[in-house]
Amino acid sequence: MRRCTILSLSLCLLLLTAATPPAEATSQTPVRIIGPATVELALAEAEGDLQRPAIEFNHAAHVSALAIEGCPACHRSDENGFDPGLAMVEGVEGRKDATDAYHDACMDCHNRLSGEGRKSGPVTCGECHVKLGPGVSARVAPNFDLSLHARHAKVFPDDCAKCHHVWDEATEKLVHRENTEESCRGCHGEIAVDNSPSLRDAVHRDCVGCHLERAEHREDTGPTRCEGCHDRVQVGAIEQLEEVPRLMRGQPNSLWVKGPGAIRPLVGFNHENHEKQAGSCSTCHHQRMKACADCHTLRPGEDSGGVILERAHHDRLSTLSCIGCHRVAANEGDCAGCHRDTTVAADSSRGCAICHDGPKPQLEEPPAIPDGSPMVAELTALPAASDDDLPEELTIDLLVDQYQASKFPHLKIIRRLDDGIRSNSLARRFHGSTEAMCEGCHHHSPAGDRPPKCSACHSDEPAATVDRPSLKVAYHRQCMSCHQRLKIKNGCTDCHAAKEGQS
Amino acid sequence: MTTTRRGFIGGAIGAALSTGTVEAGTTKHFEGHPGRYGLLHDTTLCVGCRSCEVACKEVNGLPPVESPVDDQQVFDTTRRTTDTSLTVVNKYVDATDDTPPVYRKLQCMHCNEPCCATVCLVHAFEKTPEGPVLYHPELCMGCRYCVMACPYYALAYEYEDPLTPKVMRCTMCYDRIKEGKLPGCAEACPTGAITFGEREELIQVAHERFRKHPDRYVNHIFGEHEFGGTSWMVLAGGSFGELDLDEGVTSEPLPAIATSYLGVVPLVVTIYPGLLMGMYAFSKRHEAVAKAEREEAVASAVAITEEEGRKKIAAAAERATKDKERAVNMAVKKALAEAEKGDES
Amino acid sequence: MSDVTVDAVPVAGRTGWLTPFNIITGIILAGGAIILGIRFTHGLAATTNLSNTYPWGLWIGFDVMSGVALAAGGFVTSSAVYLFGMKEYKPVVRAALLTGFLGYLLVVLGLLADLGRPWRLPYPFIKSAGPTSPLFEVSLCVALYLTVLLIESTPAVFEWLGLKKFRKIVGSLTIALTIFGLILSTMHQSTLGAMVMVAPTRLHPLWYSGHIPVHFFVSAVAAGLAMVIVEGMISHRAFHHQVEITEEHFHRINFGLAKAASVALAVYFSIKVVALALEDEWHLLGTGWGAYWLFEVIGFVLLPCVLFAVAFREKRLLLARVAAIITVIGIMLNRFNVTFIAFNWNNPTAETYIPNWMEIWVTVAFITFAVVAFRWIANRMPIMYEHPDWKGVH
Repeated sequence: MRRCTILSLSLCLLLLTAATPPAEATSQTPVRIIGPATVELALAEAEGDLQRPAIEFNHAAHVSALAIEGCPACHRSDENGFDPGLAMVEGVEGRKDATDAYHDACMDCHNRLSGEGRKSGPVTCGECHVKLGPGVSARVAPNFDLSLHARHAKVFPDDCAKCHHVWDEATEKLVHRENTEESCRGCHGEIAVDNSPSLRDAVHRDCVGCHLERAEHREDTGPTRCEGCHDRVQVGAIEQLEEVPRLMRGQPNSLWVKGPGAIRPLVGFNHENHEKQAGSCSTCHHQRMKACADCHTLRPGEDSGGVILERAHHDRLSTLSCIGCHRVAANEGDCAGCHRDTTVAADSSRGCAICHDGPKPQLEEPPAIPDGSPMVAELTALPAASDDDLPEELTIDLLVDQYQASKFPHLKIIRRLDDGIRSNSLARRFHGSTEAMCEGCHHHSPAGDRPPKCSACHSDEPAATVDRPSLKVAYHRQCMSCHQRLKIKNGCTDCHAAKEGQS
Repeated sequence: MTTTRRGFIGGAIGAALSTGTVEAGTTKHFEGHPGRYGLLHDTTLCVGCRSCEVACKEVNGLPPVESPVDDQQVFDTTRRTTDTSLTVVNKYVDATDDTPPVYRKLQCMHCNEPCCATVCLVHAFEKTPEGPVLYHPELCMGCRYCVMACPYYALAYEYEDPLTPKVMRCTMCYDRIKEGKLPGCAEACPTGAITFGEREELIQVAHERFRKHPDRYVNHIFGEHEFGGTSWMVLAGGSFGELDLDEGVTSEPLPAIATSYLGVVPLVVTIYPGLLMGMYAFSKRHEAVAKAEREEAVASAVAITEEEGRKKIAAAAERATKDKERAVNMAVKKALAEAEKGDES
Repeated sequence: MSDVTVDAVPVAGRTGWLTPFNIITGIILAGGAIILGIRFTHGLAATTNLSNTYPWGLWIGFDVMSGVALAAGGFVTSSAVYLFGMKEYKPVVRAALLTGFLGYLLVVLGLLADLGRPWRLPYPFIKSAGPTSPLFEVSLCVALYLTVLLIESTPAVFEWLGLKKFRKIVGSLTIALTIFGLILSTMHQSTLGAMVMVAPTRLHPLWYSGHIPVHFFVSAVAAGLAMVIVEGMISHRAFHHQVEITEEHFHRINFGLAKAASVALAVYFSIKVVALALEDEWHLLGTGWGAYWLFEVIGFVLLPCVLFAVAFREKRLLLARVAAIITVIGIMLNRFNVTFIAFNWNNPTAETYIPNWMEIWVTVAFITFAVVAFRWIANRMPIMYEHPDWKGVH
């Protein structure tokens, strides 16, 4: 009987405590951040599959732990300076030997340090070869832009050879050739090729090596630790010069963009102006300091990476092409109102002629392009007060129903657009005339003095075709989307006052 | 014995029922009535003005919205449709520095294969060739199975009405579209976030929008195929999961999952009688055999007992005879001895 | 033992109608009637906590879903006795059938209270059928099965009324009715489970399965067996003066039921585990809902399974009864989970549903009604014993 009582009581207790099912506890596994100074240590891919997970080597921890020994604990210097390669596996070939070399070096050091009573690392397999899930790398690549280049150039004036070199086959030496300087990426790739080290090794050797040397001599220098170049915050804190002097490498101020076999009128290109906009040469000359047409041929070629010349200039979604970069610029600031996520630029009635306004390509060389071409237009001033062509205010009353008629400040809007265009050289190049500005709102119609009204093409009838919105939708979508992009107030009564008695 | 019988029955039932999905056994596939209407809800265009809510209430003669349409506090909670609000707009993603807030309008999705129509036991729902799913309150008995079954939580019920409660849901303004007009919400929407038209055409429109503005949309039309497809399709700039729409669900219509089981029912009706009558006959025969064995056992036990009794009696009789003989002999001897003795004296 | 009076008059007749039992049940029933009156004058909103997200609550979860499962003892015992020849369970068949009949009556009453327009209950059969609906199949089967149970309960009535001819006729129908009842029960017990198959996104995956009809049927068998034990526990004591069988026979019956229930629960537990494996849902067991599922399955399926087996082996009646009570609660819990606890587990408005006191009162009133009816019938008709004129007959 007693047992039964206990059983029943515990049952009741169970029921009471679990009266309502517990809420689903959504456990959020925090995303694992891989530090900027973390280096993956693994055998080369050629050695085959790894038996144990690759090691995420915490370089920063080792630097602080080996503060006494310093870099020579693992790295060496040779006649070329600091060697980012690990001394322990230098010249070691083959999987077994490389593995042994790593193990001996790491575990010996760990044992030694713990023997000395210092903070040390693991010696068992599983503690180093930890299988970690995917993580988010906090490592960023340093952005060696023109500002940083200028700061380096100030330290080594007229001494481009310090960093820029090419391999001379004849003398089998690294030499410097004037006006052929490239970015490191031009020759150094992901992996080492013959004597040419990988980009990583080359950069670390030259940059970090130089920094270390200067640091030894107590000179003002750049970062010597990983985080200095690879941590997002520290990279962001690198000093930017106010005025970046123009980097002269024998480039023209203006040129015709040519392509062999092209038939359209040539495009004038103001290289000087674009240098100011681009952060570094590789912004446009991504791989090599050549003209686009040298690699990107009319038809797909060896070096073109599958990108033909037309795409190289016109691909809207690329940041390297002309149109792509212009699109990015037009998506920001005041331009966004008409341009962001719209097709107004692509739909423009002026079409190709905006850029292709040079001489027709002929067999002979075209006339030299004057410096500073193409010229950016100077806009004619807007009228002070409204006139027939540019009315001050329009009353939109075609669909008055729940709200009162809207008082549309036509000229005020044009003035705001005009101010924006005037202050931006890119805008002025494309909106050289006032009517080019009209196309932002008066779209899908030929440019001219008197663009059509909205109601000319958008019908009142709600059951308009699915392709062309009705007038009410056209008004709201056109106005509201621009206001949204420019963060202008967008409430119902901000544009049309409420009628009495309506909410 | 008993376990064997019960185990057998359980196994038989299990086998019959666990056929699971019973294939329809047909190779035909109905794509839906051609030319049927649909609506495209572009959430990248919706600004949360709730004009659709106001228009819907007006068109359907329902009480007006409780809070004014510019009251932003109404978006603090996630709402759902009710018996007086056949459609609501919810804010799903708050505005950030770069992105505007994201809203979505909720209402009946007018599925191609509606769960509500399948589960209604009085067939009160009808999928019309024009597209809308209609409800017939004159048949409804108020079991609310449809409210249970809807995967989009779109149906509501008039719990306050004691005697004539109805299921309340968007009707796609069936009467209006028959007259060639737009549904109330589509007509009212100022930014064109709701487009009404033929469903197939709207799919083309959606793809055109993806092509023209690749950065703006996630390249997926929700409702094109999900659970068999819906008339009301949704476009989004971010994940659909954010908008409370289940992503990655099957294109198999939900009703098929529900009705596949019902194919087992006729099997039970046809197989069980024979099976159970057989079991009954088996148990009856088992009883009869057991009875016969019992009787036989009793009879043989009686026979043995009788036989033994007879033997015992015969042995006793023999013994008695022997005793008697001995006694007679002894008496004769005694008499003879006495006679001898008398002779001598 | 045939000297028991046929027309057993309730002992309470001596003190009149106002016994404590009658007063309490009267209050409950009157309260239920009043609440139902409010329901039909002010709508379901006035008497329930139902909402648009939770259209089915306690009245469906208990009265319909659990009611049908717990009334399964009728078909289980009648099949055992009449179809599979287990004659030793004959003494409990009539009580089990009566429980079944009253249980299904409860289902109908619950439906009449819960439906929006209950007077349209016959519509699927007379006006407009929706045969694609599992609920159509359920309503048809329940309607037919209620008729079957009614007819199966009439022998006792005719014996009581002395209508020998009618009694003979219905007696001859027993086998056919039992077969028909088993067919109908298999179908509608499973289809009640199939009703939620249409909403895989709304029912938590641990409870949802493509084989949920099998789950419902097997658990109904277990529930029915347990309910016969529970009902026997109460009525054996309440009607002790009528009972003819020996205590030893009664115990044997209970242990037989316990053994069967243990097997049924073991089967149920296994198919629940199979359902987990089929959909690879093991990882869900580590969540909050998983813990709740384990609570239901281990505490109310595995535990009584073991207790039943121990009770049968050690011949401990009390343990069997405790196990039966746990099983009954477990079945109710399972039906509630499938109807409104694990259902809508992830609804967008994060609503929950808890029945209000009026719903609970009405449910209790329905149960009270069944108890009162059972008592009235058992006190007059040969349910707990055999009518002397019909001893030994079918």
